[in-house]
Amino acid sequence: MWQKFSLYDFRVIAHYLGVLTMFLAVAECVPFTVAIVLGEWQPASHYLLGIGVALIAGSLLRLILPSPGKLTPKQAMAVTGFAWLMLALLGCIPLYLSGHYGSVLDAIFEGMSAWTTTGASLVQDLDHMSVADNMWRFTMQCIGGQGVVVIALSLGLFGRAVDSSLYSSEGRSEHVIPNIMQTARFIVRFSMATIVIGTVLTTAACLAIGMEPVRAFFNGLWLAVASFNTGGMTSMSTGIIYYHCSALEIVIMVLILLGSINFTLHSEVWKGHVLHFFRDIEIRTLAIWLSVILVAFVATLCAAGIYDDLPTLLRRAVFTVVAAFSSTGFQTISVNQMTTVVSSGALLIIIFCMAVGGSAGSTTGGIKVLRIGVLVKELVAYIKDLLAPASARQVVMYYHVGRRPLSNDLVRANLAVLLLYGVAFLVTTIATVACGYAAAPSMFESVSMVSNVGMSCGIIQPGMPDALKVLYIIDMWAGRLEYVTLIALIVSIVASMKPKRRVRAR
Amino acid sequence: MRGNMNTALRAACAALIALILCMAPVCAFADGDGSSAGAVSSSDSVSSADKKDVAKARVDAAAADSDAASGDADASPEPVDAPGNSVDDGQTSDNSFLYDAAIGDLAGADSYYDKQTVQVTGEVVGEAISVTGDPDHVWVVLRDPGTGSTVTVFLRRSELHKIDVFGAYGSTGTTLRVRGQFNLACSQHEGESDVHAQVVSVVSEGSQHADEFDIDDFKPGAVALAIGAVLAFVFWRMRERSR
Repeated sequence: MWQKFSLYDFRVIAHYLGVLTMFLAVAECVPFTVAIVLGEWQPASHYLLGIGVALIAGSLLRLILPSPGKLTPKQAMAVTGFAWLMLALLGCIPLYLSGHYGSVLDAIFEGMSAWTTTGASLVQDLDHMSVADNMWRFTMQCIGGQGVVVIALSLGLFGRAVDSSLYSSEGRSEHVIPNIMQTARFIVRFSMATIVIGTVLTTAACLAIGMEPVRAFFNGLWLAVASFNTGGMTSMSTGIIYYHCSALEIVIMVLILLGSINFTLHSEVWKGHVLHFFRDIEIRTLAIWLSVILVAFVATLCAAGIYDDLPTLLRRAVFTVVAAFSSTGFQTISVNQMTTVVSSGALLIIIFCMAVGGSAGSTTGGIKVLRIGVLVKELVAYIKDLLAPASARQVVMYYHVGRRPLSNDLVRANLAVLLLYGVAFLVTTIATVACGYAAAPSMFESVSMVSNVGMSCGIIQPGMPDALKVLYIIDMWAGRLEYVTLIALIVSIVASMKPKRRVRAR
Repeated sequence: MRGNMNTALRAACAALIALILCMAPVCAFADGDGSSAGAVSSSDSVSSADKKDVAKARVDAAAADSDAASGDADASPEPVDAPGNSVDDGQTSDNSFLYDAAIGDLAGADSYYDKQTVQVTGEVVGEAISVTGDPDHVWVVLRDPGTGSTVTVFLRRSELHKIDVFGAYGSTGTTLRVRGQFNLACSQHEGESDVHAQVVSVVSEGSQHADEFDIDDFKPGAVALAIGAVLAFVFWRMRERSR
């Protein structure tokens, strides 16, 4: 029997969505302030309007139920699911007004891409975009990378009316610290500290390559935010290649790796439990997987003959693999080179890399290496079971911040997510091919959207079909919530719309 | 008499055969395409100096054409054999020089454009980025205003004085015309796609157009903010009353 929402449930959901919308109004003060300081009056007026609209919408939503009770798990799931959509719709208002987007749909695409830290962009004339508008794009990436709900929890916006269900519904299954609010605060503090240090390093690199101080600071800040939150947007249309700086690429890769690791593991290392880090199933699976992918990718690049020397080959290959697995999406192999000089075999390797993704409980997308590691362990255990006597019983353990048993429920959950991702890849690829694109680029783009990577081989651009834009928006939204939350939400809402069956009295 | 005629005939045939045999080696040195343009030289046999002369002549001719188009429309074209024209009518059509390639074509270029000499026109955006380990050169980005496509140019630092404004928010950058070799995956620059500039000229200067403060632009936002603030106050009052 499907869980249904009552009218009271919708009112509670509306209230908490209103809380997050008010938070959006506060977040838009960042680009507004930047615009005022730099004298960008047109963008400032757009953000003032955006703040006003968010304030109106948030207040109206909260007025639907001024004093709600505690959030139930079902309500928490709906709040999280709708929050991303609402923030993308309201957050795109100043973007559309900037004139850099061909249509409202393009602006919504950009908003959803920024909030979900995908990084794909339909922006036009990015090189002439104001600092304020760029600041908003990266602010959305910063908040989205941590998780809208996590940020709200850390700020205490939901008060005492929440439990772990709200945290878990955003695709996070692990508590860094037993207390949810303290967990959220740890994540935010750790992230901010890393971004600050990263900004110092990237700004120094930008100054070294000849940028003037103000531009160097903003570019450094945006690169640090986009790297740690594995967002992958840049402020110049040529992308990360614009900077032509190997030192910057190294800093970016370090930030990406830090953002790709489970925050729980960061906490353990912070407490001095370094062994937990190296014994963890995620780290070991990631190390093996990335080694295999890197060797295969280097081999295909060698065969293509693009690079003349080994250091260059390794630099490009390592950066591309790191950007792909972490769902960041920075490209040092240009969009055009992906389809002209790079072989389809190399594209396929990157597709697999994007599909698997990074650590659970981090800023990355994809299926997650923890699930892959668990499923491989289950596969090995299954084969052992087949070969063992009927009377034998084995207990499979895995190490993830302590030894844990491999239960059937965990395997079932992971298989469900794997299947959902597979179906999403398939449907999106078929839809892209149906729009007239070639098979390999369609697969590439499909995986990139579903796993929130943002890498492109040329399909994602302003002229693409609107139907594809809508599908990709849904992919990014669902991928950020790891599909289960969104599907459960949609099914519950549809079930709620079905009228109750009348039972005749006998 | 009949014998004399036979002898004469034989002599004439022998002379003709000898002539043909002597002409054969001469023909072997002149590869032809069978066209009525006459014998042409293969690219292997033409020296690089000759190639440069021909290329320069073509450039000069093209420059002369553009001057004629923009200036005096009544001037008749120079004869081919006018002084200063270096024309090699044995030269085949040479596709190593692509004139006025669009930046969009290069952004979506395949191997056809690789290592070709191209000429692109676009607005300079961003800033000049230093080249690691090469203080004499910089990177600049040219943007095609029509399509929005961009191409990276490897430029001598001494050419930077031609750029008065870099394109950004509130400024339109200098429009440059750059001629140089396009590399789909440059072996000198770690596989990046770039154009190594050989000739740089300014098409139009840049300009600044900073935002002007206009209070009317802020009125819709101010109204929305006021309404939002009122609604927020109403909510707060209702919540306080319900407690």
